[in-house]
Amino acid sequence: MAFPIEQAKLYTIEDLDDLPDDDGTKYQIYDGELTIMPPSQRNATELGAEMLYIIKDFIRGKNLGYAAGADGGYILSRKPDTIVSPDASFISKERAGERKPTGYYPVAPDLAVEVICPTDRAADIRRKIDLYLQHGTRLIWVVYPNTRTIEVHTSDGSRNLTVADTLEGGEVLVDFSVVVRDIFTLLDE
Amino acid sequence: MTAFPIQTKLYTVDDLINMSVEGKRYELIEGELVEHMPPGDEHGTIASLIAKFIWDFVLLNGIDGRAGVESSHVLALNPDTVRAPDAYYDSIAHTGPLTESVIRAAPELAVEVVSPSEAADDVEGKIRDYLRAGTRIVWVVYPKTQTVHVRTTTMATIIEAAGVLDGGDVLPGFSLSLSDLFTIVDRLKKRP
Repeated sequence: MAFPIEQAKLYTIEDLDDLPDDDGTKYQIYDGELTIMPPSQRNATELGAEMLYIIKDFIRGKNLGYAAGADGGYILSRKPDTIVSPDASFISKERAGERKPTGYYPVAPDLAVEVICPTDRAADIRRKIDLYLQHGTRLIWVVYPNTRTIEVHTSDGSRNLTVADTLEGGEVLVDFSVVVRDIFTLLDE
Repeated sequence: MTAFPIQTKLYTVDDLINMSVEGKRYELIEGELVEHMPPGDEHGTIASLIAKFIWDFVLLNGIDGRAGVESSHVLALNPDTVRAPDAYYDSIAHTGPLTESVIRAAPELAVEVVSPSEAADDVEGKIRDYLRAGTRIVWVVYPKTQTVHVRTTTMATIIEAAGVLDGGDVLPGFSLSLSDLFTIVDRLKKRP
């Protein structure tokens, strides 16, 4: 979820250091355009946590790479700069490169998960999916709490999964599979 | 196009037909009356152009069907859901002949043009309502990226700006190049 801020200049990743974040405000930059992300609403944040948990649970002990939560920053491009925070994500060891104590992930994640909030605009989600694919993300899961569907995007095409379907990890998380219904069960608790 | 819920009583198709408030557009979503802002300039242009391309094909091939914009389609009863697709195609065989009233069937082909402020959840909700009600193909047009999401009950495909939309089993042989469509739109955006 993100709102563009009226602006006359192209923002860079370095500008993020100077922006106030003591109130918990999160920022993203799309091709130099600064956007703020309000806190997530309940269904979306719980589903985001669930997605992170099942990814983390799957990769544990496999030495495949890293899972990140909704505050992780991925640099998709420089000049103009694009830095985004998926609601949950996975990046392989190869793509993440050498571990450094500070700094953002230098490239797009292998897997990006976006959980749709009531305030998310369709056109913005579409743009984000395009940016991920353009910058090398291999698998994108867009989770819709209201319809209980998951849209799966790869560079080869898209699918829409309903509760009876199985969400699979494809070539990114080989052998990962979970029934879509099980993901949304938490909304009934 | 932003949707505002109006009240909580469950409305029906007949209520909708009897409401004739000047300039207002309503849809019913499971009995909930929702008022819509009339669409913006680009939105209306794209919807009518798509209807025009469908009409060209229908007339050229003598097909018993019609394209249209914004006509009310009854998608479900008890509770009632009535949606007005931005553009659509209906055959006489599927939908019956033209009448003055609402169309008491789902559109065979529904087209939704995404407005700048439209919520992702609302778009997904529309697609679900159409497919559940028997719509065979939904085209979701994103003017900003000039792409179209094609949805059926079994698949989801993104047609990129250089791609071609086809009529599938609803309009076999129909094809619409997105560059043909958006070239017109882009030309209209230029100042003289």
